[in-house]
Amino acid sequence: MTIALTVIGGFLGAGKTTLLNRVLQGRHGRRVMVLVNDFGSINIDAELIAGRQGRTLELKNGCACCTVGGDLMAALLDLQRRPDRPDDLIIEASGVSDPMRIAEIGLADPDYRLNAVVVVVDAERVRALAADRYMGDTVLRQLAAADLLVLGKLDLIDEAQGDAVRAWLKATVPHVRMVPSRYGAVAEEILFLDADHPKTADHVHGHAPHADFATWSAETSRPIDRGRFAEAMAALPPGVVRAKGVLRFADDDSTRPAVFHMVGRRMSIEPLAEPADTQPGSRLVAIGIPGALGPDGLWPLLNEALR
Amino acid sequence: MSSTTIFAARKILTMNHSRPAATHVAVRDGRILGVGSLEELEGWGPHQVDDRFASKVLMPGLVEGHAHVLEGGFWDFTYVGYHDRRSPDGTLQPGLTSIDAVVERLRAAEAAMTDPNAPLLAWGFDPILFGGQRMTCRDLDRVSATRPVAVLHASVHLMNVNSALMTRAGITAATPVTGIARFPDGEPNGELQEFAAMYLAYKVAGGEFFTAPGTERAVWRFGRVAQLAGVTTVADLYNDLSDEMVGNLTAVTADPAFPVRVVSALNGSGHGVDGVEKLRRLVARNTDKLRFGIVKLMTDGSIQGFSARLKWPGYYNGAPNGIWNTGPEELRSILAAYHKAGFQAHIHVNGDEASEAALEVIASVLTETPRPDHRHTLQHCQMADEAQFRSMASLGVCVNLFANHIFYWGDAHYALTMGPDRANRMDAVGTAKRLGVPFAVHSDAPITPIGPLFSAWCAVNRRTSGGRVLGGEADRITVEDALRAITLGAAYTLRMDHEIGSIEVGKRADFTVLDVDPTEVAPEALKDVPVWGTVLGGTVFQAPGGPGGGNA
Repeated sequence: MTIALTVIGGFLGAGKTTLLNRVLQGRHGRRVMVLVNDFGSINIDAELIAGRQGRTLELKNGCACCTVGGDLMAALLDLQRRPDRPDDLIIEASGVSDPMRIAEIGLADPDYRLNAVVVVVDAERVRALAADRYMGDTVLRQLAAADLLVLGKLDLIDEAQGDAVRAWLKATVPHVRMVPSRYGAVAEEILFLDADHPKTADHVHGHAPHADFATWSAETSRPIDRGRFAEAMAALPPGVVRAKGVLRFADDDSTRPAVFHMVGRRMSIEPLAEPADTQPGSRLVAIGIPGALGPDGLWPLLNEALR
Repeated sequence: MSSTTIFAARKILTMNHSRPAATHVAVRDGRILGVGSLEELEGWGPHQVDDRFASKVLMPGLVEGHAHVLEGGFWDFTYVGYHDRRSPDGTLQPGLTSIDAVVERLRAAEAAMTDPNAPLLAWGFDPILFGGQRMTCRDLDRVSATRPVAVLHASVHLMNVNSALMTRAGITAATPVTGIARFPDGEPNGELQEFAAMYLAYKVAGGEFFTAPGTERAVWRFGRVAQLAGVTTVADLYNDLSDEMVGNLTAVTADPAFPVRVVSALNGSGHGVDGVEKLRRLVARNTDKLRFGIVKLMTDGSIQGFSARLKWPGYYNGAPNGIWNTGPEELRSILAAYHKAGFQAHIHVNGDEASEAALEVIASVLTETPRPDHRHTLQHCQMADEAQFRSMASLGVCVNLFANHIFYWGDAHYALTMGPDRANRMDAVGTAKRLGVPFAVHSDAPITPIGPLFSAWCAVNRRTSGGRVLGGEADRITVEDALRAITLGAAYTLRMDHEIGSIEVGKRADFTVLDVDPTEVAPEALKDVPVWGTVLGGTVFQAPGGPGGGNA
């Protein structure tokens, strides 16, 4: 079983740890290992802590958080020696590193599958940082590495400024998808979206409803054309930030379906490992900004991909 | 009553302005009781005269202000560097000046291995010195077709591996990561760099590169390699200082047979502000031979790896600017925490943009929290211009220059990284001296071999391995100034100049014993001055394998 690797990048103070705190303490049922630079801003409810061993904080929900102490390479090699393997590995890239350099592990190491590079952006400061004489090129490299941008600190600026930042980001990294961080509440959905049991945003952990976050789903019993499906997904509007599907392709004679992931602009298709999927047909779910898809949601896209 | 020993020497270079040279030094309780003539010292009462150094020259114990215990860990592996290097047991490992010679040494090492699955690990290789010829997996496949072979480069940022290792790591033409060098047909050629590519190799063979430096054996070897070079105090300038590591350092340095004092700096970039408390606890464990209290902070990468941060006009060959490991904003918050707690920071800066940013950060922290005699020190600081040195002088900042780079990578800096102007002024010892910035020079071992006399030679002669002299008269310093830099100068940067660094009353009886007077040899021969051994706190350590032979 491959470990889904997500790299969370972004400049110091942009809000990476807010996202990580939520994932670590979520009731998603996944065993998530998070590698952070330091415990400084990780804020775990004491009741959730099962124990602490050296650099690692074990949580009662099966998740764990480990500090890398300035040497990510050593931390990753240590991780390999642990007897228990997580379902997901989330690496908090240091505020100045290029997250893609780390994410490449998920492309090359068969133990991992690259889920996404998520870059958290400080909407208030990002344009100033991109022009900073010391940090400008670093910030631009981070933006370019992102599959998905999470816009934080939008509450610190007014609507017009927020629109201007979005327009600037669209011009700077044209193909990237972005989502405001007030959807931090749905960080788990973004990372772990369950194709069989998509929650509507209103149900996420009983927090205040996120009526401005939409969920779509579609299914079919007919086989899917691989090429047309890829084209259809690539054409998804930018407001769709996450999709997952269990798919049966026409050109695949395997009894096992394939699993499709899209996080931001990153897509992957691989054979479904386990548990074996017993439901016939194909299912696709997606989440994103309301109105990103028309009233028929994913149905027209899925129909286009049919053989 | 404690006994008193008076060492007689042909000459004692003291680094003490009021008594620059003497013939005798009296030692009691590991400290210097007096320096002068025998007659002057006899007044201290009963004593024994030790004249084993009667034909030798004593100078203050040499201080290596920037090395890493990693040097001790690496000696678990096969050395395949271009230049000669002394191993901890004192034997000379001849430099390997051709790829065939590298393969030959690896074959010998491979033949001596018993476990057929164990990886063969080697270190110190530097392709920059082979005139454009690169080592590939075809070379290393001659070492073994079945056993993984990994050769770490001197820079530690690249490695060469064989096909057996690539097979185990799953590295193929289709592996979609940067940093996998290729043959013209697209197949990987075994040279790896960048995070993911290095990780793939480390994962299947090479984890020992990370575990070896944490052992007691590594600390022992680190101490021995330093002692062979005449060092009595060595800085281990970036250590995670885990409980286990602190235990090993404490146990090993407490052994009377361990021949050097170790100053171990906490890796502050990894610990962040949380490390302040840790450093407080560590300082309480200080001994005569083990010191904590310095925090090491990172900024940029390395110049030869094109990861240093350069100001305009950037890299001479047009490579894009390097990377930050810690950016200025984060550096400020971490430095401020340690500075306010009273600790001294040593800040890694290679490129001139990094040194500029670090100086701005220090100025900002000092403006907020003035602190006399902080002695924050810029480490490497290879590209700083004169304005930056003026800034260091006015801020009370010290500098420890990476003089060895002039020899090892000076030609590459001239031709590729910096270009002639900036290469000529690199590691600006002359500027530091002229502007009154307290300075030292260092090896950064294992990146280059520990050898303060060699570092001093680099500062005096500024000669590259290709024979080019970088800069003019104003860029060089005299032998006297260079010898001061590797004793009192380095001691000052470690805040130990009241204890070590010169031979004067009350200081620790730490001496370096030389066969000839370094102030009398030609400046070009400074690096060849033979080190007979050392004296640490009055105890004599003869260098094994050195001139005179024997074992300490």
